[in-house]
Order: sequence, then structure tokens, then C-alpha cells
Amino acid sequence: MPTMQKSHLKLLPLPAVCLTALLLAGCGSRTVINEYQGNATGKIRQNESVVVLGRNNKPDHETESDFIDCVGDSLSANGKHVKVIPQKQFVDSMYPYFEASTAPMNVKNLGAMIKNPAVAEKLSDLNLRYLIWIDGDTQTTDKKGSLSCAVGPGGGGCFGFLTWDDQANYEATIWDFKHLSLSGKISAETNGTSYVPAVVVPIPLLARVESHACESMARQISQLIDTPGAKQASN
Amino acid sequence: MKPWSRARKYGHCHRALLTTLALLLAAGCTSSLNLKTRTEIPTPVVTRMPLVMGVHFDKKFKNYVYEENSEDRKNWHIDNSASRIALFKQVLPSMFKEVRLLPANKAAQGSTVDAIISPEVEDMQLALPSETHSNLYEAWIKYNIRLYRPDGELIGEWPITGYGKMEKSMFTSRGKGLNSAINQAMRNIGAKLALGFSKQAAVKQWLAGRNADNAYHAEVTP
Repeated sequence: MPTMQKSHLKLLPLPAVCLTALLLAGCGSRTVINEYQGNATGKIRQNESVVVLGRNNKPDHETESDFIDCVGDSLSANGKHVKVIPQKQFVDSMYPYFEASTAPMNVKNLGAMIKNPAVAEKLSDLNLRYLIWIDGDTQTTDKKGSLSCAVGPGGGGCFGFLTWDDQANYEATIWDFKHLSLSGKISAETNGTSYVPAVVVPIPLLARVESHACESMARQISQLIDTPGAKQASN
Repeated sequence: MKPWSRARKYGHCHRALLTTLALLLAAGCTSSLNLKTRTEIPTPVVTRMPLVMGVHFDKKFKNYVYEENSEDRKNWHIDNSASRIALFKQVLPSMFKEVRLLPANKAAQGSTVDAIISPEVEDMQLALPSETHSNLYEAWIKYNIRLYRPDGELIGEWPITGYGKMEKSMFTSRGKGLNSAINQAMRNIGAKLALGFSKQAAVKQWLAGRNADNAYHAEVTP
């Protein structure tokens, strides 16, 4: 009897250990941040605002709007003085200058644009200090396994194991509207693996690749524009 | 055969037939598309040119509807005529001092319009995510813009294209996804028209001629 109890006790934690290991592995993502600092132009002031825009001039991909919203929300949450203008509100109020096909590609082109008195007035109303362009996307790079689900008169369930790798690559370019100069560039690369084991019930263990990239990037942008003497480069 | 077993047999047949009919109906419904687009174009922030511009929408422009009935796109009917008219009615008043809607591409005698714009639909193409194996709804629209003198003489014409793409994940139906992609394409056209009008070679030449005439008349008039 004691021997049977011991062997039962030895076997019981094994599935829990495997599940915990998978949970920890699936939840982890690795982010690499690179930063380039341009002209140091001082921190953002209390009434000044920023806008985060997605670069969508390339036909093969579109910077996800939820990533743009995520960076904007994180900047608002992290920054003491950062007031973020929603992307749609800014693009609509500055129409037609920030459409995918008409948006300036270089900070030097801003000078010509703001010579238009109507544009200058709009920007003055918004009190815009920084314009942050984000280009990139999150892609699934590898997928393995299979999952099948069935429903019958007695009930239903799923069986199988699915895993996939996600890679997020984004670059933020920060323009200083007040000084018409490049304040800096930040790139974020995040990799993560998600798992979905299924024994009757699928258990999704998802690597939050896009949200990790968003949080890391927003933190770095906040340090660059909201704090004087931001770090030179970080890996 | 006992009556209750005969009834059960025919009951099974009826259910199978109804299921098949329902599936066929559903298949037909999902591939057909009937869409009337709604467009939102903001007011452009551009400097008004000191011109009185006439605008003429001919029947072909007003009535153009995208229709397709192929193996992959059965009974597609996309009507963006109201959106097209709305685009020009939104953009042109921001570009010119005054805009007048005209019944023809020729002004009535005594009219004070400086020129007349008349757009024409050249082409419209659409793509679904399932067709391009991407996560994007896409729309591509091409207009031809003609500029006439008040007497109907053609000053010049040029094409304007607009491209729109929207992420599939933002929409619950094809109709909404395509509507947004078409809206984006039309915004694109409005932006190019507003920013590019005065840069067209024919328009530059016409404006230079007008300015020269006005300067001459200013000199001559005592």
C-alpha cells in the first residue's frame, strides 16, 4: 500500500509540470530594441501633443491600426506630459496632407507644408510637438502541428497540438514639429512562440508578441521625448 | 411497409432535400454581393484658388456601377455613384473661390465661370483577402479629369488613381471591408485632386495664360 501511494504521488505532478513549462515558454517573448538619437531638442512641454501614425505607403503590408492605438495608449499612460492625438482625428483634420500617398516622407518636407497658412493654423490649434511614424508588422513565420475538433451527439472536443512562431518588426521615426528635425529612431524586434495543446479542451498559450513590441517601443519613445538625457542606445 | 415507417422514410427525404436546398441557397448568397457605398471625405485644408469653377457630371459618370458575374464573383453589384458625387462636392469647394454645378461641359452665354471640370470613371478594381491570400481588402479606382474653357473647348485632361487597402480583421463582412477600401481609394483621389490640380501641365499653362491676360488688361485699363 505505501509503495502504491508513492508511485502515484511521483506520476501526479508530471502533467502539471509539463503544462507549467509550456505556459512559461509560451508566455515569454524576446524583444530587441535599437535606438538612434537625432538632434536633441528638449523634452515635451505640458500643453504640447504628439500623434502616432502608421506608414501605409507600401503595398505588401499595412502597419496594424491596433498596434498604432496600443503605442498611443501606452505613451499616454507612461508619459507625464504626453497628450496623444488619435490617428484618425489628426489625419482627418489635416486632410489631404497625411494620406498614404501624400504624406511627407522626410522631415525636411514639413517646412514646405507648414508654409500654407491654413495648415499652420491647424497645427497651431493642435499644438503638435512630435509626430511619430511607425512602420512594420507582425507576421507568423512558422507553423507546426495540427488540431482537429469534432462535435457529435454525445458532445464535442478537440485533440492535437499546434505551435507557431510570431515575429514583430517595427520602426518608429520621431519628428520634432517645432524644430523641423529628426529627434530619433527606435526599432523593436520581438519573437515569440505560441502553443495550443488540446485534450478535449484546447488550452491556448499565446506569446503576446505584438503587445510586447508595443510596450517596449512606447517605453523607449517616452524616455526619448518625455525625459531629458535619454539613453544613447540599448539592446 | 407500415404507415409509420413510410412516413419516417419520406420525412428523412424531405429533411435531406431541405438541407441541400438551404446549403445551395447559402452558397449562392455568400458569393453574390450587392453594395451601395457610403463615403466620408473630410474637408481639405488647402488654399482656395481665385477661380469660379463649373463642374459637370455626365450621365455615364453619374450612373456607373461596378458589376461582375463570373465564376468567383457571382452577381456583384457595387454602386458608389452617390459617393463619387459627394467626393467632388466635398473637395472642389475647398479648392476654388466658387463652384457651380452645370448641366453640360459648356457654360451658358453670359456665365462667369472661368472653367469647367468634368470627371469620368475609367476603371474600378477590387480584391478580397481570400483572392489575394493576404489580410487586406483592396480597391483601385481610376478617373479621368477633363478641364474645359467656358465655351466647351478642352484645356487638358489627366488621369487620377486612388488606391485603398484595409485590414480584414477590422471587419465582420466583405461588404464593410470593401466599402472601407473604396472609401480609402476615394480619399486618395480627393487628396491628389486637391494637391495636384495646379501642378498639371495643362492647368499651369492655362493659368499662366489667364494671368498674362489679366496683367495686360490691368495695364491697358485706364
